[in-house]
Amino acid sequence: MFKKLSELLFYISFGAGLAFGTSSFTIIAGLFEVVSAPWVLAAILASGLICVLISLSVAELASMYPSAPGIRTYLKIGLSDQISLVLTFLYLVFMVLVAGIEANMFALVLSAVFPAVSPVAAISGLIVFTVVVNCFAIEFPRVLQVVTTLAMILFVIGMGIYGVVSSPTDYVFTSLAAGCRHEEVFLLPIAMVMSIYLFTGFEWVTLLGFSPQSYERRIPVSMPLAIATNVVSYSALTVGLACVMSRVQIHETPIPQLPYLTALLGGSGAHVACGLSFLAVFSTFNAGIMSGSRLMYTLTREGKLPRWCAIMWYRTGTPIGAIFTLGILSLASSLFIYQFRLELPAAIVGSSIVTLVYAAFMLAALRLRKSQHSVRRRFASPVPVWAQWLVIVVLLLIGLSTLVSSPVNSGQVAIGLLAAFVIAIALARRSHTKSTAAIGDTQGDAS
Amino acid sequence: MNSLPFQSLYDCLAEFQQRFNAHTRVKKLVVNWDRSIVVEATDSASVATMMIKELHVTEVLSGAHPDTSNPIHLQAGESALIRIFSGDYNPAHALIEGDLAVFSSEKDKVKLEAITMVIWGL
Repeated sequence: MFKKLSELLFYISFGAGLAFGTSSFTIIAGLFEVVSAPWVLAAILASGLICVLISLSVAELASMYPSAPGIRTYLKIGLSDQISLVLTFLYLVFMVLVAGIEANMFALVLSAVFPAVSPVAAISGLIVFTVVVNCFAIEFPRVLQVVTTLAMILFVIGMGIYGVVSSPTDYVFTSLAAGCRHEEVFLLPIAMVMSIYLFTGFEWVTLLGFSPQSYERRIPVSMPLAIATNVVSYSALTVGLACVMSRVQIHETPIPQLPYLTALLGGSGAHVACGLSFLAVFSTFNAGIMSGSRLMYTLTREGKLPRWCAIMWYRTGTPIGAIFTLGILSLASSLFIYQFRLELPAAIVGSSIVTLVYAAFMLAALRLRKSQHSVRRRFASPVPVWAQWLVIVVLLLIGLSTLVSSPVNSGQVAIGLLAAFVIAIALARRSHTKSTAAIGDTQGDAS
Repeated sequence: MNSLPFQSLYDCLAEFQQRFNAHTRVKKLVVNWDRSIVVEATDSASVATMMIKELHVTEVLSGAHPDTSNPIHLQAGESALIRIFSGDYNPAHALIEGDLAVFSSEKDKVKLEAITMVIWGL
């Protein structure tokens, strides 16, 4: 019983920790730029609910193909090889963007607290550290993952509550309602897309099942619980921020945790914010690079990426080709975002990509119920089919809304999305052409 | 589809044991990596365990003998497992096609991927 409970706790902490990064604070600040506090809460709740519904479909897919590289397998079998390839490469672009945003936000906090540290040095240091850790295959103990995530989430909830109780009661209601207008409902779609970013990563737990039985209950249950945990922590933070800082003060900084904790804790608040940001970046960054490099390695072994991505270090058995490639791409992305201060547009581009991928997951699950009905499912989503279709339509519509109602320069978001699609389609076409040529060569040899 | 090169999973793993032990480069990967790998067919009653100790597959046992501290469990249809362990089916492809499931720590998954690449190439 204890073993099963600790396994479940690990899955929840992995999903929640991967989703809760330093850039989550930036997104919450960005949400305040779009809508007022009550609508920020509504967007977080609505996106959380949608992600729970998505997670149930992902759990069904994972129960059919346990431990498979989810995005590639589910979409290849459920939709088509080409669609799967394009979306897998899009997801890799998203991971590189997230690494760039995370490194930037961590560097900003570090430089604000320790002015002698230049942001570029902090960004480079973080990425080099992560690459080295991955190359040496240093695996942090599971208990450390659970403890750090739990500490971070409890601290964020605690600080949110502290922000509320330290404000006068009548001020809490006034500040929460400040600037709230009914017309903001039209901005809810873009706020929801941004909020989906806050939960992204919960699905990576499907790679980690300890045993076949894990896919029957523990993994399916862990994803909604991880999302619910983050809904609570983000909501507490939102309310706390609204009580302590004005809306303008919140969204004029990409690192609102710093002024917030300084306002609450005084001089030591900045150092506490730095510690909190370290905890947040720890799980997201490490797990992200590791998962991304394994995905690249798998694609290389499938013949979809250049062979050097599969170069291996014999001493540890780690795919250093993929790790270095992802590290270099992450560094380039970080420096580009830093140079042009593009963290929020990059996050919105990433969020739109993920919205599309999540819609594809749900579609794949529905299609597989017809085409692969004989494959054993250890878990089936209890969500009615019509509701799953509704979520797919909502995801596609809100994803498109980023092109017309982005809070930042819509042109930047549109160009970013276009660039991501061009890269993904070009990579997919290249690998498809190579595969076709390889088949042709084989047939030629045979004849 | 071509006929399978082995009659049973156990025969296939016994041949794999010889291939593994004769491979010099793979030994670099399994330094300090003593494990028991449970190989289970999902469509038959075939279950076997490969014991890796001091750079060698020391024995292939019938049935499941999992390592309590570092369990590794492979699951697939029996014909898929035979094709994988005889080198006819790239395990990376099998994983992507959903034909193979691997349950272990992340570190051990990385190690298994490395071992398969050294033995069978890309």
